[in-house]
Amino acid sequence: MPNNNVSHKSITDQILDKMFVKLRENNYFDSDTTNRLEELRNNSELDKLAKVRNAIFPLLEEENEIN
Amino acid sequence: MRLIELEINNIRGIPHLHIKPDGKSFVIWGPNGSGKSAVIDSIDFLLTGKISRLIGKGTGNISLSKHGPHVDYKPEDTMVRGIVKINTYEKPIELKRTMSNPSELLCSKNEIQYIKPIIDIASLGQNVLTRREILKFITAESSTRAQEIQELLNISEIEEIRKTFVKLGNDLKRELQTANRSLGNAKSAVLATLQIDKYNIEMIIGEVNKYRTLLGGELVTDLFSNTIKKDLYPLKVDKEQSVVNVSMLERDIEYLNKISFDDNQKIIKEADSKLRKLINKIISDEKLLKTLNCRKLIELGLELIDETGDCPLCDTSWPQGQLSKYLNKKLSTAQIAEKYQEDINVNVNLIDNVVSSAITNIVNIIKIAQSIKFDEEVRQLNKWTEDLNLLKTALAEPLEKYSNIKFKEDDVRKLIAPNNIFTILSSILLAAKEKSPKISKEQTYWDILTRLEENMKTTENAQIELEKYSLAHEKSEILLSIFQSTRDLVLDNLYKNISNKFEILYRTLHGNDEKNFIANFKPEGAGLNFEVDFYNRGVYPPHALHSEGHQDSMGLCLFLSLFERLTEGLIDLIILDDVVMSVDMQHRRTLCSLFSTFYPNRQFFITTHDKTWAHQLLSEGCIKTQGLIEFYNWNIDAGPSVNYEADLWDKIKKDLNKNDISSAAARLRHGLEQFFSLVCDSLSVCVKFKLNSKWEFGDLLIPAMDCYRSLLMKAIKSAESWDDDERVLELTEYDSIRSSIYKRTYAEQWAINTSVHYSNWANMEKEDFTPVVQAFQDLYGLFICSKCGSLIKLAMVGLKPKSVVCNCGKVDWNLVQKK
Repeated sequence: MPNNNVSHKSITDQILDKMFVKLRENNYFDSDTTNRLEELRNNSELDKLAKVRNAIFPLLEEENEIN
Repeated sequence: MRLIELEINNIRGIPHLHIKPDGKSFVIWGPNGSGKSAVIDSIDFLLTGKISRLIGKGTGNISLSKHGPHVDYKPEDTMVRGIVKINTYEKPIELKRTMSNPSELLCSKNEIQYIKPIIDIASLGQNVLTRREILKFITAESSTRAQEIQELLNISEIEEIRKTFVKLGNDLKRELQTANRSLGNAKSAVLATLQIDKYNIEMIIGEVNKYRTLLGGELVTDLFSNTIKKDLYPLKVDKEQSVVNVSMLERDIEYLNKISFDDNQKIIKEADSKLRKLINKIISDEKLLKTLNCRKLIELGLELIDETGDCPLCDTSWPQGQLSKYLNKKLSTAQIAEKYQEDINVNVNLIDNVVSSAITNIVNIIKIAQSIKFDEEVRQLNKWTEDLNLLKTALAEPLEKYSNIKFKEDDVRKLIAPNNIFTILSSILLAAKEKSPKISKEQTYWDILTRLEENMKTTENAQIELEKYSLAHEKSEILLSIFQSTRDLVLDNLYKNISNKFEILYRTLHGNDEKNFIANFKPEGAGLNFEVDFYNRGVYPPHALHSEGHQDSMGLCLFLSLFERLTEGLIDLIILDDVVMSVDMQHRRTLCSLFSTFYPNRQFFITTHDKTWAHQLLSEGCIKTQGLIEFYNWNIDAGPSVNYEADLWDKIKKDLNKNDISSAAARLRHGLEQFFSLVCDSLSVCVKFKLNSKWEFGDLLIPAMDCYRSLLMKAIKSAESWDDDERVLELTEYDSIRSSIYKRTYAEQWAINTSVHYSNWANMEKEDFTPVVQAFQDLYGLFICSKCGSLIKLAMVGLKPKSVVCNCGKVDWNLVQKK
């Protein structure tokens, strides 16, 4: 019988949890990139194009810092 | 979360209503237009601040503020108040909402933290199932169904993330292409400086070493901007000489002369003329223009379609590969337009190549003209460059801009060789020669290396940019790929679980009829394919072969199988708004037992126009007597009349107390008629057949009582055959009680003596009628389980009676004798 009081982890969380485990385990990105992406995930901002772009391609900021 | 109380004021056909489900399942039945769905709308509004029926396709100009309040009332006159009970807080919580401020849920500050997570889930409207929702699941295209189910599962966010990753990948791909082009341009400049045809590192190093040797330098082995002039010292020249290298100026002017030769002008003139004719032909032919414009759009669209196969312009979902197929087909039908487009491209490229080369050389000459202060000449050269750039811009969008360009026919030819331009160039060259004494060959070699050094810097920067974009693009591809594979893994698993639960529910509902039923949920791209078995004849979309009733029950089973996920374990309330419209009576009854078996701890809130089903829900123990009300006689001023009919015995007693025997008698007869029709159905009682299916109390009572007695006798005989003395004793005691109750009802007397008909009850005195009522109440109790409240029913094996049971198992009379 179904249990009334079971609280499920949301499907979105399940997917993102697994995705970050894969990213870290296989070192697909440098840790800074993965950290930046994870921060976006924590702020529910993985659907924000500019922010995700900046997480994997933070060139403008680096260049600005150099300049 | 369970609903304890609900109060509605001035909402969609209900001026005022106050009901108390008390956390238990609740059923409202009544005819169409009696206001049942308004109660659902009110719960929907209380929990979400919206009324889902007023949102979505086909709702046009309907709005909550205009059409949410009961007619003639304003949003500020509306209010829904609910008292709910949640597991994480000991006291009931009061919630209120009004349409004057629908987004604000009024709740005590202390309690809001407890209720918020539940309201967040409820606000998605996932615990309400209407027939419209069922159709969404069942008849939808795979992509739409996926969208609907994703919304229900609260995984639309996942789709948004995917779209963002896809868009990022596409953006970076385009930027990577741009970076590639920039690198190509930079390399072309290197080739122009060295006057070689191919970008070959060895060849370029050879050229560099040639000039370095001539300048007394050592050979280099690598090609970098900072090695080209490494260890070479600038030649000693005076200030003016250092500015102008006449040899290089001569070379640039010579090139401009070359492209301005008559033959080349003729070619440009012809190309311009053809281009104008083609453009005129197209823009004067509306159909052709449209086809061509579409062609451009189609080509752009084909480039932009990503792996989902969705439309890149409007985001409409398409089955994978279908949009590309459709667009390619359209493209192939535009052959005439294609031919025109090809001709346009040929002529555009011809002119554009000449114009681009000219601009590069003019820019070099302008630098020299500026250095020798030829301001007027610089102004004229700048004007020339501006015109050429204007032409270049028009060539980029020929249909839109070339036809309106300010240059008339023959002007374009002149544009690559403007009047007096060679006089100007000659004067610049002359002045440069005068101001710059003839310089040495070494100086020219130095200047070539200097220009090459600049070219290489540009090339190196372009290379770095290209690598950055390449890496970013690669990262975006990895991100998307890992995300999609993880998503598919989780969703595959989820859909598999849903599919299994769905199959179990559907098989239970349809019994032997669908005992081999299977369902396949298969994510396909961004879509979700849903196919079901059709009597072992293969799998088909659910609306392909199955009847409307089967589709309705599939939708209901799908919703129930999704329910755990939908509510994330936080909401116990399942709201079903008239969802069994097309399900037949037998399956409705099975549905009741499915609710009791699979969801015993849920609170169902059900509306139905079907009185029989409402009473089946009661007799099957899904609801208690207090959980059933009837809506009838709706009118605009008063809304629905409400009959709390389930409390039959209380009402009869009240009638008796008022000495209103007539009302009590009518109520008793009406109630028993309803009840015994269910009993006859439940125990498979043999009743005299009537073509009009209108059985009266008298048709049902005696057969039902006889059947009960007969089944009880069979159960006693069976217990005796099994030597179960205890059981025999228990059942014999039941029979003794039965016999006593039967006698007190005088049922046989009513049935045998037609002159003393049930209608005569109305003429009895209170003192005589009260024992009759009590007897029938006791008789009623014989057919109901005292523990779960469900009607006892006959369980069969094939065509043979097997046992008499209730929903909870307390009643379980074995009818099969030991052989």
